Amino acid sequence: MTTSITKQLLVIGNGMVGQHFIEQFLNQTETAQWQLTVFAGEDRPAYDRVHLSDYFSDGNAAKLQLVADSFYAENKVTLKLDEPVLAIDRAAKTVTTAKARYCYDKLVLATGSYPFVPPIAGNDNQHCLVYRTIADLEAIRASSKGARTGVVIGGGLLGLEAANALKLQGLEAHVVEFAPQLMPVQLDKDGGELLRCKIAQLGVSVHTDKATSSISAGSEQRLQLNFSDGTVLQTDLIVFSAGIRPQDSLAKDAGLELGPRGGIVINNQCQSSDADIYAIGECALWQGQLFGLVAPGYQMARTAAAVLTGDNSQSFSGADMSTKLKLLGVDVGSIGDAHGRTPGAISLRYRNDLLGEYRKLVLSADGKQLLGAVLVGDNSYYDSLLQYALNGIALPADPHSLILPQSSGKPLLGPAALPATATLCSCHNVSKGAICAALDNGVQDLAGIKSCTKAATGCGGCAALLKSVVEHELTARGVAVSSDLCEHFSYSRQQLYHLVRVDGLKTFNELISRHGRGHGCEICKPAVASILASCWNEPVLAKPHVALQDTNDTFLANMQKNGTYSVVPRIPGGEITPAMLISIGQVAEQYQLYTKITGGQRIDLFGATLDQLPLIWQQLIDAGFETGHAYGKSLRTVKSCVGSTWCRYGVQDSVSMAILLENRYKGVRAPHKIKMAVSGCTRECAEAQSKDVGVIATENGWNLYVCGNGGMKPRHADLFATDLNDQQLLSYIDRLLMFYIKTADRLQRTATWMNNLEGGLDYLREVIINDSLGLCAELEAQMQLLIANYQCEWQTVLNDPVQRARFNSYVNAAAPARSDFGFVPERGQLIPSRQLNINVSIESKETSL
Amino acid sequence: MSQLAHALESQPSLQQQAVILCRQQDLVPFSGVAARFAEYAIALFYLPGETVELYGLSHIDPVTKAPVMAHGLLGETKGEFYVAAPLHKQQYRLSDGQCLSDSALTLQVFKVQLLDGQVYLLPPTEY
Ligand code: SRM
Ligand SMILES: Cc1cc2nc3c(=O)[nH]c(=O)nc-3n(C[C@H](O)[C@H](O)[C@H](O)COP(=O)(O)OP(=O)(O)OC[C@H]3O[C@@H](n4cnc5c(N)ncnc54)[C@H](O)[C@@H]3O)c2cc1C
Ligand code: SF4
Ligand code: FES
Repeated sequence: MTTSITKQLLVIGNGMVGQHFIEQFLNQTETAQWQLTVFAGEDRPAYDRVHLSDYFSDGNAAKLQLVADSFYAENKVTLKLDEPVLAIDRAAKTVTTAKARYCYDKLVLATGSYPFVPPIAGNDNQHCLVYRTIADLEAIRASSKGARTGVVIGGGLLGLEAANALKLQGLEAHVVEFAPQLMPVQLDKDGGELLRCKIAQLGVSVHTDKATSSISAGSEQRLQLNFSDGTVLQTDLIVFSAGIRPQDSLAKDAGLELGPRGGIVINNQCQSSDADIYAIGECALWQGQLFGLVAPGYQMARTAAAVLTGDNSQSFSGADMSTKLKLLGVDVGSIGDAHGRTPGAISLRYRNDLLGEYRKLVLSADGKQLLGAVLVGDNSYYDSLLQYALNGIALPADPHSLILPQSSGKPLLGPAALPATATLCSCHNVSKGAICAALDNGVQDLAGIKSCTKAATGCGGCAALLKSVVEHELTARGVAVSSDLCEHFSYSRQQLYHLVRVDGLKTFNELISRHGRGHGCEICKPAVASILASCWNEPVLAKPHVALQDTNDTFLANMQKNGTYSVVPRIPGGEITPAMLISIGQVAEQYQLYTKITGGQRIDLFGATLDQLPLIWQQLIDAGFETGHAYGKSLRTVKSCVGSTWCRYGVQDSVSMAILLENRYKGVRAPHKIKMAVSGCTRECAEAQSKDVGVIATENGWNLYVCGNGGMKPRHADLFATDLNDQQLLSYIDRLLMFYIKTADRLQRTATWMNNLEGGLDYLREVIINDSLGLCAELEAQMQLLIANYQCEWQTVLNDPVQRARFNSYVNAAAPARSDFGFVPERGQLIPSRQLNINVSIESKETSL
Repeated sequence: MSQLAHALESQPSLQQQAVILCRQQDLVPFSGVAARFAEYAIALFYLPGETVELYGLSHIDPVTKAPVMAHGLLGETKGEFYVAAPLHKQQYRLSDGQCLSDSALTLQVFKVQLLDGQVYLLPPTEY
């Protein structure tokens, strides 16, 4: 027998753990002889189940997918979608699907779990659903149509997440829990009680101590729940979330050893009772324990991949089941032995009914080790506590200080205090030592650390801790983690913005003499110019500002590679009359400008010389156009679809709204450019979800999406608020833009701003919708000032002979001919010649005059 | 008065060979304008109040060959002034045209001088 014979490795299940196994396996060195085939029970490749609920906020299943479709082919992995394995024949070493029979040398079971549906009469109604797969969510969405209320049966972690999803669908949500408290697995009685109050305040009705005995048809609504205590509750749909059960039926039929309550028994190498069959993830039972989280599943996947390729150094030795969650906006954390079951354990509690916070520490009998903890209301204590518990770090003499409110000087377990062995990211098993090693090997920043160690790319729970460790270690290595704008200002853009406002500064010189040093540079000058414009909206070419502007702003046009400029008139919402089109055509023809429809629904005219710009703009303005700010860090375009005016599906007039928005925000200077779009219905022809501000019409008004981005790293916009009327829409956008202008970094698009915003979308909603900072009135007033001070910059230039004189190519010579710039014809228009041959000398230094 | 200006005033022959490029008022403070002399395109950078108030450098971007350098932003680092090329942002020191990020790139330097409200271009060999 030669080693060149390929061996068959089959993986059953392409869920999160099955997928992680494939990746880990491919990372091993000894894989050449293996042919890898994966059977997926679902009709799509592996997706991020942890963030499943995001599907309800953005309806985007593709975003959840874990790897690109091309991943499998590129790595020579055969993926059989929608082809569940029906049976395993261990004697023949084959598996059977509805399509064929396949041989295996080794088999990996990664079949996960299925939701447990209690045997209640009536549970087979079409509006009784579960919450596990994308298909389940699609079913819930369909069932929500025309529904008013939804009930979740089960008040555990997933049940509460499901209740939130129902709320997002616009339903009145109820949670029915059999136990006397919510989240009985993770929380103690007090914690559960507080959570219940908080959730009830958020409008979700919680019914604890309720056993459902049957489900019958409802009189007012589709269904009626009949409880054992004789009470009833009517609802339109039911989601069962009463726990999960390991998907072990294949293993059972094949005669593998199972636990008394299910689960495929595995050893430390993740092998089942048949050494050729491995089991990993939620279907596996290790030392009588099931693991319903990704991190332990990933550890099993790593172990199995190593063992399969002959590396026996790895083994699975159990995993931490601590969790940190935000459920319906409420922080909940549970660490280790939350219930204090360890013999002799003692507990310390902090309970504040006023603030709605509860924290409990479970300590070893000697009070020196942290065994567990419960947090409700504020998870900022979680990272430190977890590190104490996981790494056995000795507690301070007064452990209660760890859970008292932060103002009392809580000794935070800073990144410096963590040992190198401390696991920062349990999903990807990354220790502090590994982070330090990566930094020593030349990785320079957080983004680099994430891509090379994969830390914080699993459940994301470790992101904040990772950031603080990386920043701490960078500082320790002498790398300045500085937010200084440049060598002239020791302030961030946000701080400079604040100084300009508070001191009422109107010019760069005032600012640099008071708060900076030196003469400025190409970084701080445009940044300050933008801040000044965002605060006071004086014309950017007014004398004190002109030397600050980036080249494009200086000439209100975009410089092209051959030194000529482009001209982009504003075409609000993409709507244009034939007469206006003709006048653009006439100008383009007269000046022989290359004409192109842009990606932003307007028309760009290329190849104008500096001297021609005022002439061209005079004609365009006479024809009724104004500047399109294609050069500015400001509003570009508001794309629109044709909307209800013409389209048979349109539910609102998207064109009018786009024009309204474009005219409202045109000329507003921001940290970076801003793009918007308005779609007339959910078909989304205007691609609003790729914009900084996206608006999509609904039957009842407008849905607002924020912080989307195209460009090098596209980001889908987040759904921010639904069914807004026109006025709400405008005031939310006013506030949002102004808050962005106030707080973003230099050249930071809204997408990156959002990605870096502490607290993310929820925080932004708090600020913009609930006015948590008390800023909204001020933000709106500031936006009003900017809107009121709008002027077409080109009109201003044309009215001022001094500004206009700036547009002479040479101060002492006639305007250069266009031919000096080297143009050649192509497809009926003039484009820059590839070989620039400009008609002025470019000879070397030695030339004498 | 700088030595150079003194030389200009006192030596009529020099003055004859120097040419007036433009008026001081054509300059834009803390920014650049372009001027032509014969086949040359010269970027004039004006820093009123600084030790050296006027610099002349080639207007042609050495990388793209486009006549754009006068339209670059002026910057200062550790007391030295430079212009950032408008297209790809390379920095060129105003005093000698040396590119700060790529030693192979330079901008040709032209000798220029302000006198009596005029901008003079001086012949290269005379001082
Ligand atoms: C003209 C146009 C291409 C076209 O022929 O269609 C264009 C041209 C330029 N884009 Fe763009 N972009 C154009 C639409 C887009 C779009 C599509 C859209 O707006 O729907 C995108 C992706 C959407 C987005 O921005 O999220 C786009 C993403 C970019 C980016 C990446 C931004 C990012 O956040 O990563 C840059 C680079 C930058 O701004 O730093 C860029 C930069 C540029 C610059 C300014 C590059 C430069 O510095 O020379 C180009 C100058 C335009 C000029 O001279 O007039 N352009 N650019 C489009 C003008 C639209 C308009 O009417 O204003
Ligand atoms: C809403 C929700 C939120 C969650 N939040 C968190 C969280 O915050 N943190 C956390 O750690 N965990 C969370 N989890 C749990 C986490 O998603 C699971 O632990 C993880 O997905 C388990 O991975 P797995 O591969 O074992 O199982 P799964 O991801 O369930 O994958 C199993 C796959 O196997 C397929 N399969 C089953 N039988 C067969 C067959 N016979 N043939 C072919 N294919 C088959 C199934 O169709 C499925 O696609 C959450 C789960 C849900 C549902
Ligand atoms: S994609 Fe690149 S080349 Fe094309 S217009 Fe945008 S910036 Fe220019
Ligand atoms: S712990 Fe899950 S991503 Fe790091």
